[in-house]
Amino acid sequence: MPRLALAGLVVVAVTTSCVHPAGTARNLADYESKAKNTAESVLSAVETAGIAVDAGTRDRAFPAFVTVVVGEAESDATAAVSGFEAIQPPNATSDRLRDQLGELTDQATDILADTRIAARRAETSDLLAQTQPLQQTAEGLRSFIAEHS
Amino acid sequence: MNPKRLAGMTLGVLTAMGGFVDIGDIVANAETGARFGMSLAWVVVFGVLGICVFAEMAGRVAAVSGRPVFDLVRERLGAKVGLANLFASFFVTFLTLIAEVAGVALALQLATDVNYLLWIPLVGILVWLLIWRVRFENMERVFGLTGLALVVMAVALWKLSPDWGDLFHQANHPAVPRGEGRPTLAYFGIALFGAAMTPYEVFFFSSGAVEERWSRRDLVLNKANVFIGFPLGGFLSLSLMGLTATVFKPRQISVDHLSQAALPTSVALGKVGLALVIVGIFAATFGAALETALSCSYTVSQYFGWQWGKRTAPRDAARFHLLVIVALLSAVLIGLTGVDPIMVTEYSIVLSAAALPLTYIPILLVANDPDYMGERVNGRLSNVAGSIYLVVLVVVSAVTIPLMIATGAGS
Amino acid sequence: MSPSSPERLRLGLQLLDRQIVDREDRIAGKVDDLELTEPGDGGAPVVTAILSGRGALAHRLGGRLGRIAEALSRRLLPQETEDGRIEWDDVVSIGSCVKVDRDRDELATATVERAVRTAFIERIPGSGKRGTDADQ
Repeated sequence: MPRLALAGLVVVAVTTSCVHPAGTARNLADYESKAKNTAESVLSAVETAGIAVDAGTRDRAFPAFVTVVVGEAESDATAAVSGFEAIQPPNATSDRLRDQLGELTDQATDILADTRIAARRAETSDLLAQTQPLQQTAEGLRSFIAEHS
Repeated sequence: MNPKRLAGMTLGVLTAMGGFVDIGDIVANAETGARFGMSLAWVVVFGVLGICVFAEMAGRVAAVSGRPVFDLVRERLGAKVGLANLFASFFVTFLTLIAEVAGVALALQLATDVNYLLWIPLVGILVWLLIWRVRFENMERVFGLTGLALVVMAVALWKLSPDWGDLFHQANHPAVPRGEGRPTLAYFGIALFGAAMTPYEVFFFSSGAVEERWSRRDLVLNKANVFIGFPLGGFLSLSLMGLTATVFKPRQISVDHLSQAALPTSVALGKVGLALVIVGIFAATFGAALETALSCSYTVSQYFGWQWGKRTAPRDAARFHLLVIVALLSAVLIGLTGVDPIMVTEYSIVLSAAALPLTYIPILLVANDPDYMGERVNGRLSNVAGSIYLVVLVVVSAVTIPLMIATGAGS
Repeated sequence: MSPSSPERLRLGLQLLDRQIVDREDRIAGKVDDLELTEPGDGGAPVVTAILSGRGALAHRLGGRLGRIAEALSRRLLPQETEDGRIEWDDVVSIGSCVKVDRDRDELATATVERAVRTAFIERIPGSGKRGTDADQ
C-alpha cells in the first residue's frame, strides 16, 4: 500500500513540522539573520496595530474588532521576541546585537500592551495617544532591519 | 428560465462562496497579496479555470448518470486503490472541516471579542443542527446569498483607488520579489492552487446535484452554476489579494490572522464595510463547514454504498448521519486543543494540492465513458482542457510535499 | 445492457464496484465481489451471484488489509444476519448502477444500518423527519 504509506508520511510531516525547533545560531551571520527576521515579525505586528488604531480612532472600526486585532498583534510580537531571546548568542559581537534589538522589541511589546489596554477600554483619546509611539517604534524597527540586511 | 431553475442557481453560488471562497482561500489570498503583491494572481485564474473544467464534468456526470464523484472513484479505481484514495480524501476534507469550524468561530470573535475557542462548540452544534434538520436547498440559499456580502471587498479595493497600473503590472509580469526565494514563491502558488481546487468542492457539488435530482434537463443549469459561481469566487479572492497587496505589502505586514483579512475593508469603507465583510466571512466559512462536514460523510458513504444524503430522513441514512456527527465532534475537539487555525488551514490547502489527482482523474475517465454518459461524453474542448490540467495536477502533487519540507512550509 | 448475456460484460469495468439499487431504486450497497461458477461442460465460468457486504469486501481487499478489516468488523460490528449473495437471476439491469429485484432491508449491508439506527440515530429527536419544508 504505497499510498497508505504516503498518507502516513504526510501525517508525520504535518505533526512534526508543527513543533518549532528550538532556536540555535551557528555563527554571527546566522544570528544576525534571525535577529532581522524577529524585527520583521515585530514590525508586522506594530504596523497591523497601527492600522487598526487608526481605523478605530477615526470611527471606521468597531471597538471589539480593534481589540481583537491589537491583541493578536501583541501576542505575535511577544511570541517572536521570546523565540529570539531563547537563542544563544554565538559571540560578544552578537551580544551587542541582542541588546540593540532587545531595546527595540521591549519598547514595541510595551506599546502594544498599552494599545491593547486602551482598545479594550474603547476610549478614543487613549487610543489616539498610542498612534505616535507606534509609528516611532515602527521607524526604529525599520532602520534596524535596513541596517542588518 | 423558470423560477425553480433560477433557484437552482443557488447551488452554484453556494459552492462558489462556501466552496471557492472559504477559510483556505481567504487565508491564502490574503497572505499571498501581502507578501508577493499580485504576482501570483495568475495562479488564482488558472485554478478557477481548473475547478470550472472539472466541476462541470462532475456535475454533468451526476446529472446524466445520477452518480456522485466518490461512486466514480470506487468504480474506476477499484476497491483497493479506491480505499487508499478514500483515506487521503477523507483526511484532507476533515482537516478542512477543522479549519472551517475554527474560521466561523474566528469570524464570531471579530464581531464580539469573545475568544474563538468559546464559539467552537456552538458552531459545531449549529452546523450539525442545520444538517440534521434543514432542507438542502434552504441551507444553500441562506449561506450562498449571505456570502455575497463579500462583494464588499471588491468595493473596498475600488474605494482605496490603488495604483491599478502597478497592480496589473505585478499580475502580468510575475517575478520573484526581492528577498524571496523561488521555492517559497512556488509553495505559495501551490497553496493558492490547492485552495482554488479543493477536492471537497466537487464532492459536494456532484452530491448536491444528485440531492437536487438533476437530470439531463439541468445541464444548462450545471454550466451556468459552474461558469458563473466559480469565477465570481475567483474574482472575490483576487479582490482580497489586491486589498492586502495595497494596504499591507508597502508596510511589510505579513498576514497571520483572519482579522487581518478584514482590516483593509475597514480602512476603506468604515464600519459598514467591516460589518459586511465579517458577515461575509462568517457565511462563507459556515457554508464551507456544512459542505466539508457533509463531504466527509459523502466520501465514506459513497465508497461503501450506504444510503447518503439529506433527501431521506436521518433514520433512513443512519450511518451517513452518524459519520457527520463523528466528524463534527472530532473537528470540534481538535479545534478546542487550541491548535492554530490558520496553520491548520495552510496545511489543509497544501495537502489538498497533493491529493488533487486522486479526485480528478476518475472524473475525467468517467466523463468519457459512454456507458455512463451516453452521448453526453466529454467534447473535445473538455478533454483537451482536462488533459492539460491533469498533467499540471500530477506535477503539483509530486512536488508539493518535497517543497513543503524544503521551504519549512513557506516560512 | 441486458443481464441475460453476462459473458459479454467486462466484469472489472462494468460490474465490479458499481452501486447497487433495490427494486425501489434505493441505495443498497456495492458490488463488492462476484461469484463465478464453472459450468459442468467445461465452458467459460459464468457469474452466478453478486456478493455484497463487508465480508465480501474484506475478502476482495485480500492480504493483510483484508484480514484486518475482517477482524475489526467481526469484533466491532454486529454479525451479518443476511446473506451477502444476490442471485444473478435477481439482477434487473446494469447501467451506471446495478438494479436488483430485492428489498434493501434483506441485503447484507442493512445489518449495520439497522444497528446504528436503533443505537444512535433514532434516539435523537427529529430523526424521522425529512428536514423542514421538504417536499412530501
